[in-house]
Amino acid sequence: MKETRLWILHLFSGFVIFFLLLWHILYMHYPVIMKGFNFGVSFPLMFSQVTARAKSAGFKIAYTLFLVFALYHGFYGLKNLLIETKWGRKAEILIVVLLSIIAIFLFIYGVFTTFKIGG
Amino acid sequence: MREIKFKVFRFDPQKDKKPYFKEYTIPVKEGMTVLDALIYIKENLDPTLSMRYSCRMGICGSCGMIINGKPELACHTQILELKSETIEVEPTQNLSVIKDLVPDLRPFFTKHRNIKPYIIRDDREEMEKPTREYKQTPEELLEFLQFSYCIKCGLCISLCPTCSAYDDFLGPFVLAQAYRYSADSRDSGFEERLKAIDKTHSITNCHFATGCSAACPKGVDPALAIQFLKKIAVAKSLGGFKKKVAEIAPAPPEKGPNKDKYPPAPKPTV
Repeated sequence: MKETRLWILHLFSGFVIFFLLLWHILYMHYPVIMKGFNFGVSFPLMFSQVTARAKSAGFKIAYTLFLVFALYHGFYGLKNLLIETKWGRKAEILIVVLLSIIAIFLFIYGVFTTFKIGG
Repeated sequence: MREIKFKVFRFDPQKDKKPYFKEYTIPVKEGMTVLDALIYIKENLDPTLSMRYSCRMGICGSCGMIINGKPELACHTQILELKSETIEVEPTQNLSVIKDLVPDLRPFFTKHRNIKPYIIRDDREEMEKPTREYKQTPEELLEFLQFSYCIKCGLCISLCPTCSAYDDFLGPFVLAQAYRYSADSRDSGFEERLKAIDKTHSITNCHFATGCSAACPKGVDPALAIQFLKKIAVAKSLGGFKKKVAEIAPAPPEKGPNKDKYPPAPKPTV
């Protein structure tokens, strides 16, 4: 069930990032709406707010999950687009390996940034 | 009698560097099909023309080709109904050409063989040497009936964008047949079939363009079959796939009070 499982995960990650992205956009860019629901802060992009938020374990976990699902969803979709070629099986393997390396690098970089700024 | 101009795709890989169209003008009368016209050309104008045909009645699927830009069976297409003074005939797209109007269907027939398009049973002895028929209700038959009308003409391949993108894609009719047998209540071989289906260039790469369903001359809906196949593959993957496999029908009574009341079977007509 290899490919079907990867595809199910692709669908699931798309479902999860829809809500995480919605939450991110509302929290970061529409503080007035969030304040209306008694949630969030007035100036979320202020330096003091960013550093304070980065120390929160909940935010770290949420952003790490967001990063994992977004990277998987994006790179699995990109792989499916790129392998729709007539370059052959070797090129297909090369594409998968290269995309995996880039995705892992971005994941490590993203996790490092998320945890580093929080101290 | 009207005269109609035919522009026929010609290509002999052993002689020609690239394909070209050759024009023939032929007399056409009512009831004449495109296949009749091609046979007329071969018999009277150009014996070097190659095409594939057999039954001439839309059953064998041999004469699938592109007629005026649309995938059709040549034996099923009336010339006068096309309402065109010039008719362009090409081989099925997304397949390599053996010669003229003869496409090479072998890659898809190999893929078709790989998905095991036959009833697979756990009781192998009964499968190899059946003693009686299996029980199947009309509702169970309707689950797969339309997909069993596929004649493997390959016209669905010509309108499939995924088939045009890469050669490894299993293709609409192959996947539709995988569903046809997996949905059959007499079959218990979905897991065996899944080994050929659960790959990169398979169900998950179908773009659902539905060109295959539009192209099918028998009214089969391969795009729908692929969606159903995705559904049962996902259910299987998540552990929610359960299928009640049909049992063997009970043996008819050898002796009994009603046995003599049954009328005798009618005599064979052929």
